[in-house]
Amino acid sequence: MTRREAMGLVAFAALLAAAIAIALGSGRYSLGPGQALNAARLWVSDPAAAATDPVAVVLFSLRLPRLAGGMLVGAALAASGASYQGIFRNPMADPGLLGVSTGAACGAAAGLLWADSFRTIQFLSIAGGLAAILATLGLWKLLREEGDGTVSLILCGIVVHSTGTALLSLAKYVADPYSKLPALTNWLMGGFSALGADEIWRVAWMAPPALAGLWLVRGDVDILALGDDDARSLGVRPAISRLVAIVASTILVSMAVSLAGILAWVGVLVPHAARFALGPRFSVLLPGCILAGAAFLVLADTSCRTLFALEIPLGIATSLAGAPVFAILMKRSRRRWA
Amino acid sequence: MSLEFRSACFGYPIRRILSDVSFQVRPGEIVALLGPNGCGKTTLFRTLLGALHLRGGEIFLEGIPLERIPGIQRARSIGYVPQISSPAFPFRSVDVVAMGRRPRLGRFGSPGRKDRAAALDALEAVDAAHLADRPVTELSGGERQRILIARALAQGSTYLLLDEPTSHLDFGHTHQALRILQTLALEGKGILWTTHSPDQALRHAHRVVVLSGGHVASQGPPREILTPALFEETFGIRASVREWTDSDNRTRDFCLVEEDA
Repeated sequence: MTRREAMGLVAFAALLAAAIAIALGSGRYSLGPGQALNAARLWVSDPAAAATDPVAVVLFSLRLPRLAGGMLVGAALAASGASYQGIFRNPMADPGLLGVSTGAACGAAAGLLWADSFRTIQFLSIAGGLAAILATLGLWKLLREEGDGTVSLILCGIVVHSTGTALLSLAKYVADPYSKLPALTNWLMGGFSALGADEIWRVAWMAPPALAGLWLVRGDVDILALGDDDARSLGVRPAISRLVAIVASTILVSMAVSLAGILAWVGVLVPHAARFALGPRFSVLLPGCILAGAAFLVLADTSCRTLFALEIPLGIATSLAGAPVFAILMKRSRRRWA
Repeated sequence: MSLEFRSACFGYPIRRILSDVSFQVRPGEIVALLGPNGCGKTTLFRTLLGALHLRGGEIFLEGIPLERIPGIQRARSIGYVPQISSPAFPFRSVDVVAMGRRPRLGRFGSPGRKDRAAALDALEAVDAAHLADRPVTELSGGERQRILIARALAQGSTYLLLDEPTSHLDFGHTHQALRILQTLALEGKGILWTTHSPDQALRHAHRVVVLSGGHVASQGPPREILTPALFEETFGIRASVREWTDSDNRTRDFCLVEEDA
């Protein structure tokens, strides 16, 4: 690891620590570090008393789950986005490229219409993400020809994505406009407002193995960014390494959507910023994106719930903030990826 | 020891491009594949890399059918220098060269410190040590070419495939690249390269395989096979190989294109 890479990672870790402190401390009920420590002590020594202590309740039942959700989703989207950009040789590739997030959203919509328990929504949204990737890969297997690159795979992803979009519209159309439609619309905008600790733990276990999968192919992701024939000449089997990265990313994206709906831009924006600071090597970029993605989403979510009297849905904020920030990054890094 | 083609056929499932190719490359030998655009040179290389299946005949690597050799093992024996490589991101040159170590790293590997040292050695060997920390995306065509050759050297393979290594280079860099090829052959590499230029093949190859019309039109030592008849048939021009003696009484060969009648 070069000096620049190491310094960048340290800076991202510091940024995440700051984001955590800000997220835990700010809100309608402002908390100082002393109060937080006291509450933590109380929670450890006397959980029953902590359940009625207002500071402990705010900290452990409201802010901590939300913080954990933000970190998990931010890290998952940024890491999977970075891997997609490498394996598809496209700096604009979004982790939803192969239809996974649309599929997961369809699953969640079905869950909302059918049962309206968060558990069902989560389960169906992860199932929807997996179904989408199976559909994309299956279609590709059917249509591909020998020697094909990634373009045919991406086109299959577009087919699945647009089918998913149609199904989502259908779900909105048939949803009861008084009870179900507002919930569905709200959910699709993306955010953490309904999130509790249970919902997070139910899916958080999926992240470590998926991230480990990405780490396993870290060298191959770089080589695939050179092109498939280059990769073959170096003994890498493009289809296999790409499949490992796709499966890992699918798990991460489905998990993220099952927690927070569809959050635009995070998976493109954060990897760009990380690449700008750390350089393009995936073995550095992956930990960098985990740290920076977690920090970014925690800060974005904290802004959403504190800046205005009314909480803004996170998905709207990331889209609004993402577009101009991305334009600036594009201008600044133009020379680097021209 | 050799990389041997026996009546090998190349192409796509529905379209055969090149048939009945037989020749071999031995370590220390430079073989040029010469032919007009679209003669199947790239298809032949992509088949060697495993991107396409062989459509008939056989290719042997050290006596073993190539299709039976796992990709990672093949990559230890055959290195490849693409015509152009445009990485999606601005990797540093040394990192790109270190990727050449991939076939030595096992199933799931990533280059470490030792591989970086090997990469620096390889850069040194092509006079590009000063480029190590520069992003490859910022290098000129000639510099990039040397980085790609260094990557193939870091790979440590016996055979090198070069796909039109001089097509993007100016006059000076072309000469340098061809000199590097000769040095590598002297060091024992078996080199198979494609070129559009009979002149280059004439001066830098031990043997030339001329591809035209979907098959091997002719093959052998360049001085013997580059006849006016071959120029006429393959490239559609009137040309011939001439000899030129300089003031020190050394003779050199060159291709002369006759004026159109």
